[in-house]
Amino acid sequence: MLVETENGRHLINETAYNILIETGPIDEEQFVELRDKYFKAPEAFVIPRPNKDEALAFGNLDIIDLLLYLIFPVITPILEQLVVKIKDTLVDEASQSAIEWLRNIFNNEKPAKPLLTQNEIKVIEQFIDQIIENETRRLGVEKRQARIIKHAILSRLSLATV
Amino acid sequence: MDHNRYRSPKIINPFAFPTETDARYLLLVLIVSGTLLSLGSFYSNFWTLNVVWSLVVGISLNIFVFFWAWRSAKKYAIIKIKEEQWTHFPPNTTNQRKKASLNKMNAYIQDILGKTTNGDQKLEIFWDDKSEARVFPTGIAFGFGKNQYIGLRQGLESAFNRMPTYDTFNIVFLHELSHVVNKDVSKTIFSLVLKRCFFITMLASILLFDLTFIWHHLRFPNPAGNYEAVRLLINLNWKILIILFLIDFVQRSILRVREYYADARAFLWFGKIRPFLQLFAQDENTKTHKFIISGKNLLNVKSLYEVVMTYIAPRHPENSTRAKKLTNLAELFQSSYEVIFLAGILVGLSLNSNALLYSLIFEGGQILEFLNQLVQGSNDPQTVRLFANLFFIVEFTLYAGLIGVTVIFAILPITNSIGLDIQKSSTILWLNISNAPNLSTLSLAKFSLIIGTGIVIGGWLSPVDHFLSLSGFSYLGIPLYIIGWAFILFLWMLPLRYISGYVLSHHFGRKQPDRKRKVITLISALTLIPLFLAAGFFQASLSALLAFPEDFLGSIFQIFEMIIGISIFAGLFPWFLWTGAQIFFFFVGWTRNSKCPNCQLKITGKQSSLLNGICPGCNSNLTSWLFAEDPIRLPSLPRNVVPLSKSAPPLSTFHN
Repeated sequence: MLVETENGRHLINETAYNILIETGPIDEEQFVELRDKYFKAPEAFVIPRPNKDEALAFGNLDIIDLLLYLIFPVITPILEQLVVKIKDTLVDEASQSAIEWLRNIFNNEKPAKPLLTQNEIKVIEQFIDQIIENETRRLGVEKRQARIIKHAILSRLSLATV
Repeated sequence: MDHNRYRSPKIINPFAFPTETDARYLLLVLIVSGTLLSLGSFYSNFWTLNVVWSLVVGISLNIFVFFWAWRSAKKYAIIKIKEEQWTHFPPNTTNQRKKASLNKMNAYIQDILGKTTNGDQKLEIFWDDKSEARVFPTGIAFGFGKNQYIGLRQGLESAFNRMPTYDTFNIVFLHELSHVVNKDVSKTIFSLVLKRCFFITMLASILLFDLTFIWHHLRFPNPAGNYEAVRLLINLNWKILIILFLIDFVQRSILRVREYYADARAFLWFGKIRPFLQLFAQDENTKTHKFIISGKNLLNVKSLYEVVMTYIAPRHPENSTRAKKLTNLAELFQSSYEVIFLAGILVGLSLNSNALLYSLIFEGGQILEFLNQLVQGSNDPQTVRLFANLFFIVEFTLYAGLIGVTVIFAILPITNSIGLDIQKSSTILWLNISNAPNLSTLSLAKFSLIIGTGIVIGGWLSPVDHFLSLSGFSYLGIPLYIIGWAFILFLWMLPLRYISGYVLSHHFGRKQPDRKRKVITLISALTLIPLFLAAGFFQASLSALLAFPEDFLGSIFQIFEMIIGISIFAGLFPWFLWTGAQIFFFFVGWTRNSKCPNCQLKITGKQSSLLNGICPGCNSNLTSWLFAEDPIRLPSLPRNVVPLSKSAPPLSTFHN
């Protein structure tokens, strides 16, 4: 599991941050708070849902920074699958290099070497869709925001296509 | 107040008249007060048949509950702030980026406050960064009297930083501020605590009464009367439960309806509807009450009740309904069937329950007889004068009290609900404003039937059987009663529809026609009193005749004569009063030819309605009081705070 290794946590941290800042300003304090909460107990991580019938309040409004809450539970299983995929592709290198390779991609640096074909990107897209489907259902949120994560990941991976 | 406003299309002003929130609040207060009064008399009658004591107990209960509620309302805000651990806004923070962001938000807020409030209320802003709900971009308005508060949740900081891409911050803040400016905060808090105090008092008193009643009948068993005693006890208890449900229903509806008016004012300030509609288009499928049907859950009465009430009477309106009301503000002028039905129930409940007070006339007669005997033997002019004054005071107090009870619990609910609705709708109908509510003769007939049904049900709901109750006679007579009451109210509505529309649509200028509206309401109340007395007398006579035919059949002709006499009076008196009112309106200039406040062109009475309220000379809006002012100019957006770092924050040390 990526959250159990330091390198894995760096990968999740950097990937999440870089995707988020592309969408607009974020509250760094809140980012760190949510990140640490997720790392501490990934299975117990939930997204707060509005209380529909709260007297005196404005009404039923969703969190503005829903993406900030969604990024960690969605991106972690995606990155875990990508690590396996990249590791398989890098047959002559250890898994740690797969993480390093991905960190380069998501830090907007040029990858050591392009690895993926268009067909492989399509397969990755399918499993990303599946993960988004599962996680959004589990967390009780719409898929709309999670698709931002998908597009951000695929656009970066497409830089590494042969 | 900010006077630098820009032009926008004409939008109807839902605050040109008292709002539906006010009507519902009045109903709640009157239902609570009326129930306490009637139950007080019921409890005291268990020991004594003295009506004066009944009144004393009823009034004492009222004073107790309302005083308790008032004290609780005063402390509500302080307790809430302490419990939720809110801090004054902006909160202290050592994080420089956050401090800069919050200071900018504060400056923005203060600018808006300067343009929307005029400092007649003390308003404090609080910050929630501790509760579970802090992550949501919402706020809350609360307070009582001159002390008003707005609580902002931490999620609004993100919303603020998202401007102008998202307007959530503006919408939410303006909405909460609207509650303060609409003056519904104190009413809301008071209604919450009044319900709580009333519930506790009622449940405690009814439990005590039940135990005393049962103990009394066990001590002094009376097999012949046992069935009647049990019937009385069950009758009392289940009707109390229904009244408690009604009060909860009305109180929840206040919370719901006030949101429409807060949305409306926020929209009028903001000037754009699209962001509101986008916000209200958010997914509403989240259900927080996942009630699983199981034996254990079904026994949890409170939880079951709460789930049911969430569907019947939610505390918050659906987003789709809020959007609908915003797109057509004229809907806020529409009569609510719910309100007029509840007003009917209150009338029936109170008139029946407090009918015992009419026997005060006989009690008063005994007092007068006593005074008369005292003065008989006296030759001292001063003594005679003193007793004459006492005589007058007693007579006056008795009749004033009776009229007061009738006015407060019967007339007020009708004139301030359907009466006011008719004034509102009629005014915009006269001016041919689009999407005006339907106020046709058929609609008035429908309203009358709804109120009539409410009155009859209210009479039936009274825990105390009196001459307006429905016990003891055929159910076939019930439609007759409904039609009777409906007919009376229909007669009352007809002149009100015409005259109020005519007078108010002839009011030109920016100033609200508050005085005219109050005079029309007063006259409508005065015309309602004889109609109510006639209808009440008719129902009482018919009830007596059906329940005790052997006693009353002999005097049926006298009863019939009285009914005819009272009906003629009830029919003619309002006619005279409205005719007199129209003459008065003409002489004071309310219905004579008026001048355009802008170009001074004379506008005839008939012209103004045909012109849709537009002056033919200068094209200005004649009835500008009925339309919203221009939106406020929102402060310019702050520049972004310290730019974000391109590198992700380092991992926390406990993870390494």
